[in-house]
Amino acid sequence: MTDKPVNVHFLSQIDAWVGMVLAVAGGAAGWMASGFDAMSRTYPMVLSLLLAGCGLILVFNVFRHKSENVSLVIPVQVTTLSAVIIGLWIVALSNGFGYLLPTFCMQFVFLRLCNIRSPRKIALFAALISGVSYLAFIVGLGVPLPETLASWIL
Amino acid sequence: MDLILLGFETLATPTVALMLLIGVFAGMVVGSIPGINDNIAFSVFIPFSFSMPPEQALALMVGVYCAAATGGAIPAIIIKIPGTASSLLTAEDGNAMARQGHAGRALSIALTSSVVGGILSSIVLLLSAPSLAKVALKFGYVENFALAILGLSSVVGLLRGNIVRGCIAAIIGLLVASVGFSPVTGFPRFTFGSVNLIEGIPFVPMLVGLFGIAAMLELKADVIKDREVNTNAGGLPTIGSLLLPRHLIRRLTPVWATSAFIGNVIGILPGAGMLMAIFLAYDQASRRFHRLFKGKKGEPDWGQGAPEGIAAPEAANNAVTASSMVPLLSLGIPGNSTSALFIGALALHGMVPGPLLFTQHGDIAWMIVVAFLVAGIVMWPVAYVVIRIVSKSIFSIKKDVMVGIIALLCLMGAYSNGVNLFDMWVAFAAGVIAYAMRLANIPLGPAILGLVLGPQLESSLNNSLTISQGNWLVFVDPVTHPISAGMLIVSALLWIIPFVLGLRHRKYT
Repeated sequence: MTDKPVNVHFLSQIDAWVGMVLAVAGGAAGWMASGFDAMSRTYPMVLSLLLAGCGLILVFNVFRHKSENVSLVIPVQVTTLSAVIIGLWIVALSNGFGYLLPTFCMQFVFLRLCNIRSPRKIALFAALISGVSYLAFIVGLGVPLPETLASWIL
Repeated sequence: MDLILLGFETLATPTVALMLLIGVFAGMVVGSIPGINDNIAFSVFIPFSFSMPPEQALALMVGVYCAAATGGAIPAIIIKIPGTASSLLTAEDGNAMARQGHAGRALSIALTSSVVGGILSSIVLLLSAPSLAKVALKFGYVENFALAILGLSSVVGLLRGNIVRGCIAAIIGLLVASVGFSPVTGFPRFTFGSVNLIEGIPFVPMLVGLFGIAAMLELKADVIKDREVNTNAGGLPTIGSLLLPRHLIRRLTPVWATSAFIGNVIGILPGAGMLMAIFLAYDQASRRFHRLFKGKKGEPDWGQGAPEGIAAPEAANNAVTASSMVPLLSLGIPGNSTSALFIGALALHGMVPGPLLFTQHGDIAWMIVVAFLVAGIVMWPVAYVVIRIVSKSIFSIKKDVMVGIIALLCLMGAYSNGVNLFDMWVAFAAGVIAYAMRLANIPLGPAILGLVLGPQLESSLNNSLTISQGNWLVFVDPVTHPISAGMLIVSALLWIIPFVLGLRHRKYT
């Protein structure tokens, strides 16, 4: 209990987290590399250990110097939302829902999340972006899409 | 001379020339949208180059690359919001001059400086890349290993005070590049049983994600934070005449020469980046202004509309564009992050940058070199059209509309690469990682270089050691491999000098 203020200070710094993540990632990569054949393992193993080492240096530096304290609330929110939207779009494409409908929905949600209030305006923009990109990529450049559930689905 | 003519001949094909013109126009328009940097501009145009023949696609990309940096100056001057990071400093004096009623003059200085910088760096590219490529053709495994080390050291060494983070970025890049078949035994490494990873992580989707998706996430975070600036606040200044008076041309000529020289030197250094060039050139121009013009009648203060404050950064940033292609085309090492994207554009058409490009695809390589020169020349009239006709519409584009469009273009670009949905996931994951790296203050440049140089580093290391029967001293043997020894000594100096300077600085402060 006595060292609580020190822990709070340490974990509130982004470098501490970055350093720990890198140390763990480097360690895990090194462990995986140890399973490769003898001639293929040295290079990735050395790199993994160097990564883990650099991560530990970052953690160690947190004790020496105070690092920048960045709020991660918005970045985490942005990344999670984008992952969900983009993930659903890719899943819809791969499951045969065509291009236009999933793209319209994706653009609609993106525009809504980016502070555009009017639903009519959002629908218009989303339809425009979906239509123009369909014409550009699928019709113009001939990029083949995954097979759709029905032939009339664009 | 024949080879230069070959480049001109390829470029003179109507469709190729048209693509270059379209690229310049599109790059300038996209570059002048506030918040859309040159990397995004380049990323979103990659998908359009898929279905084109290589010479048309690469002419388009050269146009976009050259013009995006110039386009960034237009909003910087008119509304004080840099279109690209390279116009960061132009906004100060440029907008001040525009507010004093001389927007046309400010734009004209910026454009002329860009054109001068661009043309001078194209000449450097024309003269040095093929000669350097000829030297590089003589490189064996040992020299290639030393070259890769030199490339990585130049990036990490330049990050003064940030060496650990530079190392982290480079190691991440090298480690990611080791995914897939081992070059020695063919053993699949870090593939997690996925057939999509057996040949390594797809390069183009990864680059598109690292630049495009990461920028999209950043843009979205900006919008959520409500940092959006009303670009129409107060109305746009009247542009007026775009003619540059002769006395100003005489006054700025030394600034153009110095700034273009700085831009060329920085551009050739792998990973040094445009920002370093513009800050150094701006600093030089500031000294000159203070020495010769400060306090004179009719002269503004520095930062308040000084012509040198516009000319220096613009000449320097455009000098970086073509010169950053020198190490890329001759040695396969990107000069900056945007030129790293050029590797993707070349890879799409089955070409690998490096010394062999000039022998295997001479027409294309020379066309690229010549296209930089021509793009520099056509930039002026195109910029005139953009400023006079489309700039008002461009400034009314909001960042919030761009988020979804950038995401869509990047994902479709990644998908078009191999018509594989897995590539979209790769682009998104790469984007998230690049965004996280930016938040953690880990530079992206060394990671890109690690990705590019990783395979060369590992295979040349393995081959060198096999040939020399495990003798590590082969890399520093001054008799059999003097070039390798020289490059490794320079690499060591790139690490030691910043370290020593840091220690001295700490001692005195």
